[in-house]
Amino acid sequence: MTTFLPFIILGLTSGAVYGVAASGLVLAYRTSGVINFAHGSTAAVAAGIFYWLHDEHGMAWPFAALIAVLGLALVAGAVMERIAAVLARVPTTLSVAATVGLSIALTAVIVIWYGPAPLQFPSFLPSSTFKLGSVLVGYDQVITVAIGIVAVASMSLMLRYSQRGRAMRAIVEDPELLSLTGLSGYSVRSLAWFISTAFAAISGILIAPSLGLDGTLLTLLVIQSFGAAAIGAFSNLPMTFIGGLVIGVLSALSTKYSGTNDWLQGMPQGLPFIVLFVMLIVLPRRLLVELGSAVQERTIGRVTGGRAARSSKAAVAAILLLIVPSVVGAHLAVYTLAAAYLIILLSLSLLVRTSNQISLCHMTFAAIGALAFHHLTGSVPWVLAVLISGLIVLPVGLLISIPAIRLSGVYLALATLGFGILVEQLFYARSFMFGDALSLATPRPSFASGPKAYYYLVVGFVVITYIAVRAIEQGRLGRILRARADAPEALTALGLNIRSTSMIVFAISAAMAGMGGALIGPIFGVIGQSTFQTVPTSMLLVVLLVLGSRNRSAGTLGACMIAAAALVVVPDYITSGTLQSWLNVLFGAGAIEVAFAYRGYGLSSRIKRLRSPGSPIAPDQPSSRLSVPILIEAPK
Amino acid sequence: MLELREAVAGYGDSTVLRGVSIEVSAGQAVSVVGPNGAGKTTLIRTICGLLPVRSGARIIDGVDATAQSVHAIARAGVCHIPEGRGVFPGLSVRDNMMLFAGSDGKRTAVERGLSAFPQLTKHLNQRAGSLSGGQQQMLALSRVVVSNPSVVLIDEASLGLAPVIVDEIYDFLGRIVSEGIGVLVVEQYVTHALRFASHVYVLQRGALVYSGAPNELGSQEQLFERYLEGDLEQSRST
Amino acid sequence: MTTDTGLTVENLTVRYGGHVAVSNVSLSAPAGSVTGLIGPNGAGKTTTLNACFGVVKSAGEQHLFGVNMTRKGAVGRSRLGMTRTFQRMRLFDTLTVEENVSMGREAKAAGTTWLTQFVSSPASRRQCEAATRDALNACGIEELRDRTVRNLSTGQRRLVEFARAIANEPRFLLLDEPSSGLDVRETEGFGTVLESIVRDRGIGVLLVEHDMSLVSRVCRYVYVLDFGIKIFEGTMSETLTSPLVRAAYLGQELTDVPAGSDA
Ligand SMILES: Nc1ncnc2c1ncn2[C@@H]1O[C@H](COP(=O)(O)OP(=O)(O)OP(=O)(O)O)[C@@H](O)[C@H]1O
Ligand SMILES: Nc1ncnc2c1ncn2[C@@H]1O[C@H](COP(=O)(O)OP(=O)(O)OP(=O)(O)O)[C@@H](O)[C@H]1O
Ligand SMILES: [Mg+2]
Ligand SMILES: [Mg+2]
Repeated sequence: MTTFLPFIILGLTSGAVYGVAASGLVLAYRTSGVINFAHGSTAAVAAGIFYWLHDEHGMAWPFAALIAVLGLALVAGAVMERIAAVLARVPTTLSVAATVGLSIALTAVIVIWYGPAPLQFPSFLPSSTFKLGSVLVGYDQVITVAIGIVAVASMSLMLRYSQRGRAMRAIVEDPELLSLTGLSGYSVRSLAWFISTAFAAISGILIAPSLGLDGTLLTLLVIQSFGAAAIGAFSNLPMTFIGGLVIGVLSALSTKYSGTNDWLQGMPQGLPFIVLFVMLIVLPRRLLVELGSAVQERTIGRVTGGRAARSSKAAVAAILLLIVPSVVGAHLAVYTLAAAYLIILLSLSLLVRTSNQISLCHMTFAAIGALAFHHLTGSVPWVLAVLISGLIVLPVGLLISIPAIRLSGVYLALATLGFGILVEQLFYARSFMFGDALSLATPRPSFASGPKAYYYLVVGFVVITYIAVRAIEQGRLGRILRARADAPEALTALGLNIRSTSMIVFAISAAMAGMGGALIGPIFGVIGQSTFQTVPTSMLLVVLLVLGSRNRSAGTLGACMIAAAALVVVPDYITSGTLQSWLNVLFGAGAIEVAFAYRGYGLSSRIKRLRSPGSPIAPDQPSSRLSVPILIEAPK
Repeated sequence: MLELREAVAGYGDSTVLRGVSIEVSAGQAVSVVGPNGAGKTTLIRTICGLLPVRSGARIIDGVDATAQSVHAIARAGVCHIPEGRGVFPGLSVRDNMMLFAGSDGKRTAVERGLSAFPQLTKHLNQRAGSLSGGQQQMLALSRVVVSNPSVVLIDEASLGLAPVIVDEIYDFLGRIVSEGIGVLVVEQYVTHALRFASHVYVLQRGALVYSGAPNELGSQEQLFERYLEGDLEQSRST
Repeated sequence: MTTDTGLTVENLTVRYGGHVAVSNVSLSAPAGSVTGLIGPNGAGKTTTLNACFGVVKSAGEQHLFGVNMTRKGAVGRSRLGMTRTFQRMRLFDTLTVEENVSMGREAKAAGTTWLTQFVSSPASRRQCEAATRDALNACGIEELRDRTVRNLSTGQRRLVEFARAIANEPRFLLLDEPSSGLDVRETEGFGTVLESIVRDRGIGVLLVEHDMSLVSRVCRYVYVLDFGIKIFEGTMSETLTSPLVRAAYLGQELTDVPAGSDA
C-alpha cells in the first residue's frame, strides 16, 4: 500500500486541478451550450500572466495570482459573453470551429510572447511537508486540493439553489424567454463566463509548476479535463470534480507502471481520452442531450448561382491546378502536399459541410492510410496500394461511426478528438505503427517518379475524389444527410435507418482521407511520426474548412482549395516563426468571425452598417431568418 | 397602461406591421384576431420588445419605452407568454415557477402556480420538457399568476389544451381582469376571443381593419365575412 | 384479432419511473377509417402513440395488419407501413417544401440497406416524384413548393408535415394534434383532405386531437383516456353525449357540436 500512496496523493493533487478546470468547462457549457475548446489556452494565458507578474516582476504570489485570475476573468467574462451569445445560435460545426480557432490563436499568442521553448515555472506555493502515516504530503498539495473542493462545491450549490444558478441553467435553453422574465441575458452569461474563466485560470496557475510554461502542453493538459467532464456527463459539477480526481489518480498510477510495463506505454497521457471516449460510448443517450440545441440553427441554407456559374468556377479551379508546376518553381513539393491535403479536406467536407458533423481525427485516418501504404508498397502495384490503403482505413471509419450513431454535435467532436489523441498516444510508438523508426519508405511510382509527374498524379486523384464527393452531395445520400441534420427522428419515422447513414458517410470519408494520407508519403519519399501532427492539424483542418466556406459562392472545391492553401502553401512562403504564429492568430480570429457573419454580425455587415447607420447591432435580437448566410452548398 | 402608437416592425428586410396602434389599459380584456400570417405574433413581440419598433412609439404607464430592452419592459410588469414554447424544458417544473417569479416572489411562487394549475402538483419535480404538450402550456400560463404582472400578453392561449381546460383558462383570465390586470389574448378560436374581450382588434396583413367592441364587430357582418369567413361559421354554430 | 384490423394495441402499459402514464389500454383502429383518441392534457395520448411507434418502453402487445410488431423498433415499425406526425413538428427546416415532402417517399425507398441509401435508381426517383406531386396536390400546397420550410406560418408547416406523411404512402398513419396552430378555415380544409385520403387509399388513421369540431367530423369511433386509463369508447355521437366524457374532457362548451360523419 505504501508504495501506492505517494502516487495516489500526487494523483489527487493533479486530479483536483483537472477537476477545477473541468468544472469551469462544464459551467460554461451549461449556460451557453458551447464547449470551450479554448479553455486550456485560457489557463495557459493565466499562467503566462502570473509568470510575468510573479517571476519577472517579483510581485508576491498571492497578488499575482489574484490579478491573473480576476483580471483575466473580467476581460474574458465580457468578451466570451458576446462570443457565446452568438455561438449559441449557430450550427455546432461553426461554434466548435470558433472555439477551436480561439484555442489555436491563444496558443500562438503565448508562443509569440514567451517563445516556442518552454520556460521553467518555479513552484510558488509553500513547499514544506508533513507526514501522513508513512508518506510525506506537501502543504502545496493540501492547498491545491482544498482550493478545488471549495471552488467546485460553492459553484454547484449556487447553480442548483440560487436564482442566478437557475437562470444560468435556463438561458441556454431559451435566452428570449429568460429576458421575458425580467432577467438580462448579458448579466447571466457574463457571470458564468467570469467564473468559468476564473476556474481555468486557477487550474492553469496551479498546474504550471509541474509542467513549465509551455503553451501547447498546458493547452493540451487542461483539455484533458474533457475526460473528467465526461464522467460528470457534462452537467454534474460534483461528479465532474470526482472524475478529475479519478483521472488524476489513474494517470499517476499508470505512470508508476508504464516504466516497467511496455503495454502501458503512453497510458498516462492517453488515459483521460480513453475515459472520454469510453464514457461517450457507454453513457445513456438521455444524459448526453445537446444543450441549447433548441435555439441553434441546424444547417444552413443553400447556395445560389446556376450551372453556368458552377462550371466557370470549376474551369478556374482546373486551370489553377494545371498551371501550378510551371509557375511555382522550387515550391512544387508544397503544392503537391496541398493537393494531397485537398483530398483529405474534400473527405472532411462530406461531414462538416454536408451533414453538420465534425471529425477532429481526420489526420488520424490519413496517418493510418499512409502507414498502410508503406506496408503495401513493393508488394502490390502502386496505384492499387493507394486504393487498398483507403480500404484499410474504412473499418476505422466504421469504428468512429459507433459514437457518430449515438452522438451529435459537440459530443461527436469530442469523441473524435479523444479517438485521435488516443491513437497518437497509445499506438504511434508501437512497432506496428511508426515504432522507433524515424522514417519509413514511401516511394513514388515508377511511372511518375519526377516531382512534376507526381504532382499531376495527385491532382488526378483530387479530380476523382471531387467527382465522388460531388456525386454524393447531389445524390440521395446528400439529401438524406442534409435532412438528418435538421430532424433525425422524422427520418426514422419515415422508415429510414439513420445508423447505416452514419456508417456509410464515416466509412467513405475515412477511406478518402486514408488515400489522401497515402499520397502524402511519396512526396518526401519517407514518412515518420512527425509527418502527421494529427491532433493540431485535424483541428486546423476544421477551422480552415469553415474559414474557406465563409464565402458561399466558393463551393465545395473552392472552400477546400482555400483551406489547403492556408494550411500548407501560405506558411511555406512565410519563413519567420513569429509571422507563422501570427498567421495562426489570424485563422483563429477568422473562425470566430465566420460564426458572427453567419448570424449577420460579420465584419462586412458591420462596415456596411457604419456606412449607413440606423440599425443597431444586438446579438440578442434574432437576425432575419431570410438573410442567413450559407455554409453548406447544396446542389440545385 | 400599455400602448403602441403607429408602430412599424418586421424581420430583416421585410416589414410586417404597418403602423398599428393598440392599447391595453388596467383591468381591460382585449383580444386580437386575424387570419394566419396576419402579424399577430409579430404584434405581441413588438409590444414586449423582442422586436424593435422601427417607427412609432411604445408607451408604458405614460412613459416612452420605445428603446427599452426586453428585460426592462418585463420588469415594468409586462408579461408575455410566447406562442407554443413558454417553458424552460431542461428545468424542473418547480425551478421554472421560481424563475418566473423573479427575485421577489420566489418563496410563494410554487404555491401560487399550483393554486392556478393543481394538475401540475404531481409533476413538480419533473423536467418541464417531459410534460405533455398541454401541461407545458399550463406551466407557461402559470407565469401569469407567479410573476405579478400588470399587463399580460398571451399568444395562442388555448394551444394544445383540452376543451375543459380552455374553459377554465378563460374563467381564470376573467378573474385576473377583474383584479385590475390588463389582458391581451391572441386566439385561433374566435368564439372564445370574442366572448372574453371587451375590446377587439382585427388584424389583417399587418394593419388594423377593426378596433372596437365585439358586439359591434358582430354587426359588421360584411367585414367579418371578408376577413374571417371560416371563423364566422364556427361562431354561428356555437 | 383479425388481419383486416389495422392497428391493435393490447394491454398497453407505460411507466415513467414511478408514474404510470398509460395503464392497461387496449384499442383497435381499423383500416379505411379514422379512429379518434382524445382525453384531457396529460392523459397519455402522445405516450400511447410513442408506444405504438416503439420509441418508449412499454408492456403489452401491438399488431399492425396482423403482424406482431411488439419487439420492433421505430424503423422496423415504419417499414411495416406505418408513419406518424409529431405534436412538436419535426420538419427539415432548411429544405424546401418540395424536398421535405419528397423525403417522405425517399426515406422509405432508401430504407435500411447501404446500397439503397447511397444511390437511387431511376425507377425509385420517378416514384418519389409522383408521390411528391400527389401529396402536394392533395394538401393544396403546390404554390409553396419552393419556399424554405422555416419561413412558413405554423399552419402551413402543419400541412407540410402532413403532406410528407402522405408521400410516405403509409398503410397506417398516427397523427398527433395535426390541427393545432391551424385556424378554423385551415382546420376545415385539413379535415377534407384527411377524409379523402382515407377514402381513396383505404388507410387507417389514429388521430389525437383537441379540436372537437375536427374530431366529430372525421372520426367514426373514439377512445377516451384519462389519467392513463381508458374511460370510454364508442361511436362519435355516443361519446359526445356521454356524461363521463363531458365531465372529464369536453366541459360545457361544445355540448351541441353537430354529430359528424359517423351518423
Ligand atoms: N422570422 C421571420 N422572418 C421573416 N418573416 C417572418 C418571420 N416570422 C414571421 N414572418 C412572416 O411575418 C408574417 C406575420 O407572421 P406572424 O407570425 O406575426 O403571423 P401570425 O398572425 O402570428 O400567424 P399565426 O396565426 O400563423 O401564428 C408572416 O407572413 C410570416 O411569414
Ligand atoms: N419522460 C417522462 N417522464 C416522466 N413523465 C412523463 C414523461 N413523458 C410524459 N410523462 C407524463 O406522462 C403523462 C402523459 O403524457 P402525454 O404526453 O402522453 O399526454 P397527452 O395525453 O399527449 O397530453 P396532451 O394533450 O397535453 O398532449 C403526463 O402526465 C406526462 O407528464
Ligand atoms: Mg402567431
Ligand atoms: Mg400529447
